[in-house]
Amino acid sequence: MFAASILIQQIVYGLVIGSSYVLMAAGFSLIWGIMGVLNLAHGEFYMLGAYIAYYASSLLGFNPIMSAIVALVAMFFFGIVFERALLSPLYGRKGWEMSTVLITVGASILIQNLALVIFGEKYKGLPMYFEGELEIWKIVLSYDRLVVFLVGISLIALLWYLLKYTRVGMAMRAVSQNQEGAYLTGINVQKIFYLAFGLSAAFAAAGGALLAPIYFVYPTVGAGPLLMAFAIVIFGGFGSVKGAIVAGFLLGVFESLVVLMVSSAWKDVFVFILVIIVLTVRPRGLFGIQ
Amino acid sequence: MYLLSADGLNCGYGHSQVLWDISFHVEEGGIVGIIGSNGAGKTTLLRTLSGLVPAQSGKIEFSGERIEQLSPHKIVERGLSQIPEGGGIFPYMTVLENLKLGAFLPWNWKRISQNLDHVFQLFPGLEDRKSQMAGTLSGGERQMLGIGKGLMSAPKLLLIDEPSSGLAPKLVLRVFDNIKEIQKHNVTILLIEQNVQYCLNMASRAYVLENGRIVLEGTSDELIGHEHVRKAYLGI
Repeated sequence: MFAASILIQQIVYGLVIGSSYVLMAAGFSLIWGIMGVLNLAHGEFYMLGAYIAYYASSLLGFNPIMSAIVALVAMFFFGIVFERALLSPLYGRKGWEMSTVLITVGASILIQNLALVIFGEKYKGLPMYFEGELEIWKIVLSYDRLVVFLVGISLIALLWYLLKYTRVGMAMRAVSQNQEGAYLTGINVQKIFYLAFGLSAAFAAAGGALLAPIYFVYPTVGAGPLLMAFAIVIFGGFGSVKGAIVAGFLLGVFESLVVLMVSSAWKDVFVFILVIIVLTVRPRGLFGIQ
Repeated sequence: MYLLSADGLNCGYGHSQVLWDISFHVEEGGIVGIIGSNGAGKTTLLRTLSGLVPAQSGKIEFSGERIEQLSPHKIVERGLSQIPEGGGIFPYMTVLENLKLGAFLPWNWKRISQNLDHVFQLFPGLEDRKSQMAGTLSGGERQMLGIGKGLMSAPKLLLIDEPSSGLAPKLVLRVFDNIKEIQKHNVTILLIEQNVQYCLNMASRAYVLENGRIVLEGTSDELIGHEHVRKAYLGI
């Protein structure tokens, strides 16, 4: 078998990737919970975040932390425009839930192809920014990955704080639990919709931006993370941000261990076998409602 | 001038009309009742007043301003709060979080602790359960939480939909005691009830809603003595 240090190393890698998955899945789940919208263009927010980080770093020389923040802020506004322009005209119309699925699929294809035209089909990679690596008890972690992990964790904590303690965050949870009650409480539900959508796009973009220095960036790079977000949200429970956080880290580690013990080609297969098992045994996921 | 008045209100959902030519008023400071049996249109009326359902025609005036075109949050901002049947609470949040959200409007948010003290004084039971999930409360406690949450918005007028619904008779009395207590604190109340006896005991005036129309109005004493009310609602 493997030395304990390799095993632990791989778990740590899993947590690093997991933090990006959590950023991706938390917003995906949030939007489902609040708006009842299954946003299939969520992967493109990730992709755009990664490109923003790539150009911020390669053209402007920003460090990965700054790049991630730029991507986060830019995509917050992009998300708001996206929701207002494409989704808000549909609410309340007959069959609007299905319409939002179709329109987000359409937007996903459009954004991917625009990215292909504008950024080109070549895989883009960034050189290491923080050189060197940290070594504790034979576990080696490059500073780049460490930064990704720390920024990821901080952003997750920020999202948690926003939702748990701020006035707007509490209103978001209120809308997801009882929309009519939220209206009667004086909450401007439409405003909560676009703010939540902006937040969700921002955090997906941060997830993409953080992994840009580690992996390659290309126009369809968001497809994998979207699929993973699906798995995480099913595993953690639809609509639950807490579930997305726990499940994101768990699946990140699980995937890493599959890569170590089987092969990287099999990781999606194993992840989805796990999801199918969860759906059979506990259909509502870890923290899902009912 | 009345605090709330409706004039020639027609309401419904899409092509189906539920309420016809509704006119009524609520003067400041009292409790006014609207009674009627199941399906008479009571809840639709409240939903229209709160802006959840757009009025088809007619006007609603609150504090001298027309409100029938406003969205629900704008109506709450003007001081008209509604406690829907079941309390309108958020089940996966704690009692305290629910109460805080009641003070969502910016000017109330700043005075949260004052308003909380006030609500906890009225409902000591809520303070004991403040870190409990609202969804795990009993029916009576939910109703109290709903009222407490409504009070956190410091309303001028509180619309209360069927506070007695689903409660044991003993609890109903307690909820109504609470409502009387609130009225003493300068909150005007429009009470919608199926339970005619209780409602007429509480309210100074009331309207009788039948099949989407107001068929009777008067002081509670007049209505209690009215032959139609006695026959149809009080079973005397």
